[in-house]
Amino acid sequence: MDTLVAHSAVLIIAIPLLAAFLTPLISRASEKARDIFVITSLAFVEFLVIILAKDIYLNGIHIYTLGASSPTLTIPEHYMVPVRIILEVDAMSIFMGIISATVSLAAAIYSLSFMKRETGGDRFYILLLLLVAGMLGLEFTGDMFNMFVFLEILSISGAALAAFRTRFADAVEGGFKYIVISAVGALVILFAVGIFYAPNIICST
Amino acid sequence: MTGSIFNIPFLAVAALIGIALYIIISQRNLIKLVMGITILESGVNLFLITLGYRAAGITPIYTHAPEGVMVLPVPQALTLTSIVIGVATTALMLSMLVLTYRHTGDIDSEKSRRMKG
Amino acid sequence: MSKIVRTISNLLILFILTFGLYVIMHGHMTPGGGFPGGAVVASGIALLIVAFGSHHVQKTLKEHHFAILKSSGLLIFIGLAFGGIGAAFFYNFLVGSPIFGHIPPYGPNPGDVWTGGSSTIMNIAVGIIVSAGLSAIVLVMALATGKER
Repeated sequence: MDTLVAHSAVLIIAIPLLAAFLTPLISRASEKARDIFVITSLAFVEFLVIILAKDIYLNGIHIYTLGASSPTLTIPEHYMVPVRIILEVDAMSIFMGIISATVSLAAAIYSLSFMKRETGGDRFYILLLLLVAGMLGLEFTGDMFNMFVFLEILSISGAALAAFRTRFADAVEGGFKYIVISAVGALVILFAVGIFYAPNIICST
Repeated sequence: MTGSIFNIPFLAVAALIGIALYIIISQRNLIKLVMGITILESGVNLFLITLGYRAAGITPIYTHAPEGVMVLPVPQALTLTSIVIGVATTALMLSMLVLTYRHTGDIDSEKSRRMKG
Repeated sequence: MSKIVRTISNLLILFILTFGLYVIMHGHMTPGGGFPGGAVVASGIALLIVAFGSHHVQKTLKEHHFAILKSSGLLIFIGLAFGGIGAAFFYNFLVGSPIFGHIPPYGPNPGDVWTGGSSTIMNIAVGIIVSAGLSAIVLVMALATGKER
């Protein structure tokens, strides 16, 4: 249980991604297996969020470094600044994480009977799982460029879901307007991240 | 203009972003709108690479490298990620344009006002 | 397209695919890597579509082939990322082992292909994903706009 809590900050983001990549394989078996798989993975994410919230309330901020030899090793030896992608979960992040995980689980359960009438196949569930991974990554990340990357994952999946029923012209027009406004906004955010980065470079020009 | 010669890339960034914002605001044909978003993305990527320049630097590759300080490689990695994201966004926008043309027969932003907002 | 264009594109596709594979495989030593190499391979497929017409290319390269390649590349990538979960996510657990496990020396040196660990295999997986994905996009758009004439 202790190792599960120590690794849970990255498992919350990685399990919806793994489920989104496995769904085309599982849906070849039967449709019922795909439904059970999606609901099970989102329920597991909800369970991990709740035990991580309890641990943050008792012990403080969690930091997770991707790719190091232990999860909390942000500064390796002979280095003076933190390196690698760092996830940082504090009270505000886990509060938004509880909201996101609960709403996604409810949306997935309610969409099961609705999607029986649609013809999109398993693409709806792939897009929904990518949207959940993008949302949770946006809330748990520790640096600003990762925030931009997860924001773009979120907006592309969201626009594809908004235009999902392509036989209605209103839906496609709405999805197009969403992606244009979201893309321009995210590029201006990237410009601002560049301006933030500039005074911290030691330059000898 | 005051300043050294190394300010020219920043002037190019300003020109690209200004032209792109003018295209996005004023064009009616939706394909030209997508072109304007692509030019905006090119301008922002050029800005990220230009931030990493160090005076008299060489390329940051270790294979058969000559002597000297290297330019910063971290903004180059961030720019590569941003280019990939731009490709995905452009592909999605063009697919939605193909579907819009199939429904209404016209690519004009004045005609796609069915949702009134 | 005319006979000259078809003959030359038949000849050039070999060189384009070889160059794309070179850029993907040497991603840890020279500029390039997964995404630019995959884009080069996809532009070779786009050359075939322009020269021969999308209906002719679609008889051999169907869309579900690209979907299978894309899914397998994605599963290799996320499987290698989960492989080092004993230490941390994305931990490079192949350094020191015989698969791509040499350790490069410090400083400028002539490069060694067999270095890199799991990040080199991830480069190859990203190359497969990007080439299959971008080729599928180009093929589907060519088919969708070709029928409306």
